[in-house]
Amino acid sequence: MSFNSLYDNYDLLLPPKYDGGYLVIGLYERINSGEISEYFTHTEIGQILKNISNDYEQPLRQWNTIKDNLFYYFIRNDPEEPWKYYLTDYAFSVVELMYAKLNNPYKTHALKASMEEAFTLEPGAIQTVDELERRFGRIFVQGSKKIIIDHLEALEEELSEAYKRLNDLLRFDESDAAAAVKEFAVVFKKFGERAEDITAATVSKDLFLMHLRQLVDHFYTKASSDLNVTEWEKAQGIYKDLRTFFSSVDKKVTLIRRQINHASEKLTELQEQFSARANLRLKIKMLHKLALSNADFSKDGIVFKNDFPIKSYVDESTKIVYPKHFDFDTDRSSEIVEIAQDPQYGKEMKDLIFNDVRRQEMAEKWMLKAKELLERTGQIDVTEFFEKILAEEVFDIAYQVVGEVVAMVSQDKEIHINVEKELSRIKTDNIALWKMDIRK
Amino acid sequence: MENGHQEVIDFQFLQLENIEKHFAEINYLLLSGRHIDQNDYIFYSLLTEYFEYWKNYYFKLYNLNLVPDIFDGQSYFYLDFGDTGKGRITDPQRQREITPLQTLVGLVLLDMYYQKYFEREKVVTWNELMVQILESDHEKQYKQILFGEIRASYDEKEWSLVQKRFLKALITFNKLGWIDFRNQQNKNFSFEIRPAIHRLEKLYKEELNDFEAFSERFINRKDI
Repeated sequence: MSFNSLYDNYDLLLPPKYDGGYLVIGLYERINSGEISEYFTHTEIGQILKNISNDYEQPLRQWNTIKDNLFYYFIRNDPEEPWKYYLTDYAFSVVELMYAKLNNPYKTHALKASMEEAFTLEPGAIQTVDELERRFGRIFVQGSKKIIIDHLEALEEELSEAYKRLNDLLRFDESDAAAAVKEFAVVFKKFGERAEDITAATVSKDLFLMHLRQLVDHFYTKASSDLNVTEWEKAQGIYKDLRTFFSSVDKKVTLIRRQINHASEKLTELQEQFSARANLRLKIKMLHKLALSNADFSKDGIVFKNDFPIKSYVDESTKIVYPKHFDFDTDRSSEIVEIAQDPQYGKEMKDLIFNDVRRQEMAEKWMLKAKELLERTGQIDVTEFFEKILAEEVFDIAYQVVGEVVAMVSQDKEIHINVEKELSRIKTDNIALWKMDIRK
Repeated sequence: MENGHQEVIDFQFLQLENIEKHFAEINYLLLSGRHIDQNDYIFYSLLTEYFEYWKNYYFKLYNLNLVPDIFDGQSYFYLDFGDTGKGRITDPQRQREITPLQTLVGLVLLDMYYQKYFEREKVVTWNELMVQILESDHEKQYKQILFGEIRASYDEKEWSLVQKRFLKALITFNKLGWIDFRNQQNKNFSFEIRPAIHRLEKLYKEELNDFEAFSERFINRKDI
């Protein structure tokens, strides 16, 4: 059946309250109680419709107008006695579903018990993959899974009901306070029990998954010796399926837990209404709010403005140090020897520093000149340049500058150094250079 | 010691074997602001047993009060400045201020202590604290003072800076004995709020006693 036809038949499947819905429930109830027989008559239907109209103060519906809603899916004619009708199996199951929702049988059962009944695995109880498949295979655990899911749904419903009651209690007048608190304690006890049950169920589930994992590992070890992985794959598949299922259970459980926590907070609120603490807690909340509204952002952290009071505590950070060894003979005073100034040495050192600084300055000046020359003419004749420096500066500077120029240009790929192994003598000093030509 | 009012309490107790053994630690903890409760059982019992001596010791030598306090049925000891204002203690080296962030976190924890009133151990996880702070009615204000502006989201770097600051405040509280770290390794670490958190309430006692007048001061100030 396509989804479209589902949409078309929706009204028929779930008739509105007064257009057949209540009639079906009424028929179900009377058949169950034996008031009318399984095959009922037109008169009996009319009687039920009349009752509904009275009980709910509704205009009387005529069977002829609503029978189209119900025929086929809910009510059919008895083929043997066509003037009689019967409720379909479908109608029974719908009413039973609603009934089960209202009176969920799991409400009185512990989740842990359901969990343990359905999912227990004793070590060594299962030897082959087929056995595992029979007990926990996807098809075989459908029922068990449904039990757990139904159980969780029942729990959720129960909690939300209790939660509603808690909220109602919060609206009580103070005169009813004592009674309200008593009632509250009963409601809360249920939460406490549920929380314990959930915890126990989680533990039992974890234990089951652990055993299953061990079993899968066992098949794995077997597979590695038999070189047959199909068994292990099957077992692994079962494990994965159940793990996925339990992680969805975990999610639901988390939700339920959260609800319980929330209710616990509400209980605190209620309790406070009748205790002196309420006032104090309220003041602290107000102080918190006031502190917040007087706080400001700063790069180094939050600051208070408007002189909001800041409190201090004792902090002396005293440390008591126990020396392991103590030498009692060390009590000697040290003498400070003052050294007199030596003016001549001072002057020598100053000159030395000054000369060095000047030498560096000059070298830098010539370096700049060399760069400028290279930019302008695109060429430096090293020997000539060396002599030019020597004419103005001492040998050290000239030597340093030429050295640095060669080093600088040798790093630049665009500049070529042409070295000819031909010595050219420097006029003033007793040295000679190879003929070097730098070109851009 | 029965001759009239001449009751003399001296420092002889320091020579007791048990005190000698633990004095250094107790002294260090108290002077660095710790609130000693039954979690530090040996220290707590020595303080209980020789309370008068300890009290005299701190009062005479440090001008500090050793205060025995009780909250939620559990007692603890701490040092406080004397009643006569701060006296000698104005030296900033001898006291430490509770920073604004610490004050705010402390007030949240104090409220959480009340919320978990029916639980025996008030254990809080980091995530729970964040939810309490950032998903409360004060969400916007917190975002404003923590990040400097209100946006829909903040990047990882901003978050990690904020978390670092919170953690630093919590580490201070742990040192003070206001909380007790349970699991500090985990990213979502947990800690127990100790009854000594009540000290924060005591520090703001004056303000809380006449809260209306106190809050009005700020309303007026804002108008100016």
